[in-house]
Amino acid sequence: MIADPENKVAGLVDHLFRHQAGQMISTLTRIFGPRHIDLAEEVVQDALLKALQQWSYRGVPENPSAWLIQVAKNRALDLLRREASLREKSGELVRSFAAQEEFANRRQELGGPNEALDDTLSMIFMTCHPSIPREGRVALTLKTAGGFGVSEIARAFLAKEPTIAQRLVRAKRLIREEGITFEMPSGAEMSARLDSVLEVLYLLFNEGYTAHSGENLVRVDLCDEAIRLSSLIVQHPATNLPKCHALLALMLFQAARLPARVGKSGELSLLAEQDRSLWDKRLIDRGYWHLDRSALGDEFTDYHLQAAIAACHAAATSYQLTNWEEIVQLYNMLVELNPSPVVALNRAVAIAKWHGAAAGIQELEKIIEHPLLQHYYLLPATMGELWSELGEQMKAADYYRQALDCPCSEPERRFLSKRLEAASHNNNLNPIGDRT
Amino acid sequence: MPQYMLISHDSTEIPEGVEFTPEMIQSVLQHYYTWIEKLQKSGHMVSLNKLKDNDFGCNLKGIGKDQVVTDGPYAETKEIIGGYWVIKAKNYDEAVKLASDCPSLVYGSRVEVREVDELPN
Repeated sequence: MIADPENKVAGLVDHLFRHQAGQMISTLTRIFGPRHIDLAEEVVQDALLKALQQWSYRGVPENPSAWLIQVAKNRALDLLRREASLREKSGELVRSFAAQEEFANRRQELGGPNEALDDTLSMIFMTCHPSIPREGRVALTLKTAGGFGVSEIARAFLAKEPTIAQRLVRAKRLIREEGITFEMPSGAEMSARLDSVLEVLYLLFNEGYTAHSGENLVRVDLCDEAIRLSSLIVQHPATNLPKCHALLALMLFQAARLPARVGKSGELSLLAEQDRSLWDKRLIDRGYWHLDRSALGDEFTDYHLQAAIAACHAAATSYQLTNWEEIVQLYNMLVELNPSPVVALNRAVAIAKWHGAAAGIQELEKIIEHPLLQHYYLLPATMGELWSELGEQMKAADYYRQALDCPCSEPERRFLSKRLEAASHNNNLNPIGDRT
Repeated sequence: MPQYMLISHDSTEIPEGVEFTPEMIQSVLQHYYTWIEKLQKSGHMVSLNKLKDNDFGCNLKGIGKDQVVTDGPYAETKEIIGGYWVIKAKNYDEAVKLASDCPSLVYGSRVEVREVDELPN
């Protein structure tokens, strides 16, 4: 109790409830079965509300996680018993719940494997099942293992709440209809299923890192969650694999730059202009640690290459002193492994740094017609930068205008407007000047 | 210094269409802690207690064979006393001022301020 006025009120660990909710939903889904995710969510919600009521007066209990889990379990049993009296069928659920509880307790006494980690990973493998559409996978993973609310997911993805709610309902229905199980896949199935999990985490991180539209440039929560879940994955013996370490290393190197990526007034700060003293050294060190582990084995994925490129940037003391030659070589390999136009775009930037702006423009012209890049602001924005470097301000301004016609976040928009203004000014052009 | 009881009258109805996400619940809780800690540090907080709300208690009326005991006095009302804080304050004005940023007010509760009538020494 915090009745003693001398007693300092304990604060809460950041995201305690969110992480705890994810953990509890996972464990309860194991116990109730994948068909009853809704029940697991309801029980967890009740437990959190009870914590809110009690802890607001009494302070945080000594072991908040244990408190929450106990309350959730009691609530689950209550609900199941009530159901059981209505329908005989639920009686089985109560018995199975009680039996599982007993088993879990005994396993804990025996010092068995880390059950909580098993549960979270089984949950992620289930919510990232390839039978579920990609958007549904992302939303359901955040909602269950991540402990995010529908409103938070909607905000993070700039979608409407009913849209997200619908995706969740559909994903859960697919789990029931397809009979997707709650377990870690094994044998030959593991590798493909793991790829689907990693893809979701990669999407999650990128969505957070490069917000495509809206006011916030970086939605740190998404990046944090992607890193947290990836860290859990490399902790588990079954998924402690090189490609998982590679993805985590990539995220850590990128996340290390986040503090420098957004300026004080929320404006975009490009790699070239970033104050590198703001980079998070701790995250970079963690990145190297996982990069080392990613090299143990003969598997070589595009996560490996992307992580290696991110490591090159992290190692450079300044933009000028970046090892562009190595980066271009890594991009050459990456383009072969993953011939996406976005990779080609990034490769062109590296080539421009190594061989000059003209060489970069030459590369960009090869992909400028690519249908996937038609609304991608970074292509014309990069063209603008390179032409500007060559002193061709009129061409640069033209490309900045094209970039501004594409969807992008508000800070990116302000950044492009500034560039457009500078280019137009240097050319004695009205910044809004017509193009005729 | 006189003591005042701040009584939180909470609604028993959960507002419709509001999603209580784990993150939101945590931030509400943190809001209470910040307020309580402020009053503890300034020496105003005397004690605080939450009342159990599972059955909303029961009511007694009358004595002997006329005594009636009823469950949950709140069958018709939509408010229950969720808990209370006892604070020290110079006067009502100060007590009201200290209660003015009670988090319960943000979350739709009514906070009643009553002075404890103490016996003179």
